[in-house]
Amino acid sequence: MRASWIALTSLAVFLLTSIRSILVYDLPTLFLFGLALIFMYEQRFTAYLVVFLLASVNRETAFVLTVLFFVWFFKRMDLGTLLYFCVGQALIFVAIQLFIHFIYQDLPGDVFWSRFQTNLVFYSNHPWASARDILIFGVLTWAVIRNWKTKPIFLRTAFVVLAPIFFVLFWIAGFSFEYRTFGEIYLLSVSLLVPNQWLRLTA
Amino acid sequence: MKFRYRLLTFLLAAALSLSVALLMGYNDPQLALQKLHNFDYRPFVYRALVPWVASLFLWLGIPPQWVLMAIFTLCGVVYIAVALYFFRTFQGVK
Repeated sequence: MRASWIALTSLAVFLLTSIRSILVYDLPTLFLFGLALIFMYEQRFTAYLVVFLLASVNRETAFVLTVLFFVWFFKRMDLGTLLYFCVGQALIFVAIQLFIHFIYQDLPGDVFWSRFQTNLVFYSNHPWASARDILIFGVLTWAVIRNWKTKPIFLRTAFVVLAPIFFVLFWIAGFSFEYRTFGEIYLLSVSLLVPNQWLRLTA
Repeated sequence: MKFRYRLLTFLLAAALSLSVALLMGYNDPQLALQKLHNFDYRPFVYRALVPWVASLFLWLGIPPQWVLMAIFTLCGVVYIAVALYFFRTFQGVK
């Protein structure tokens, strides 16, 4: 019962906090990353690779799943099998990205937007909003790491590997004050944010 | 009871997603078409999964605002399904 409310609340919070900037790939990003993490943890590799493929078409940030895959299975899989899966994912990702970049090569815009300097200027011009965001990040991080050792090891590993990557990407390529860029780790963070027993589906 | 509760959860998710879609003006055909193609602007246009799926429905002659609102609503419902699956998978895990 609680789990249903947590899921609904998390959807409402995501939609309402990104209402001005949400794009069509944002909600698929949330659930494709969630599914990929489930299948990776359960070692359902065929399902994982299908979701990885869809996630790669949906957004280029899917490459971070391979980074997590490598870290999680480094001591849980023999090296040959691990390399086989990681190289396979890299090939899928590169093939998809090359194909997409090729067919849209004539459209306006850039291959990659670096907004690092623009973001720094924006944050310095809006000190109160920046302070508010630092506070929100601080509180959320504290809530996630509170009772850290009671939380599932896979989720902790995923958070430690993925959160810093997205924090850096948020500063370099994201728009200032636009938090939908953390969509990939949203479900993961929600699960770490609430006490584990609250995730039970029945009260 | 469990089934009705789960059904209510999915209906609320659909209502919430659809409300937000309407609030954002997705019922406007011009805006819907731009959104469905990620404004035909790089690098947004590289996020191709939804635009490619939408193209199929647009090709069938379904108005873009219907396609966008249906996809957005469906994505909200799928998110809830995945979230519940995610919670069930990791509940009680050490």
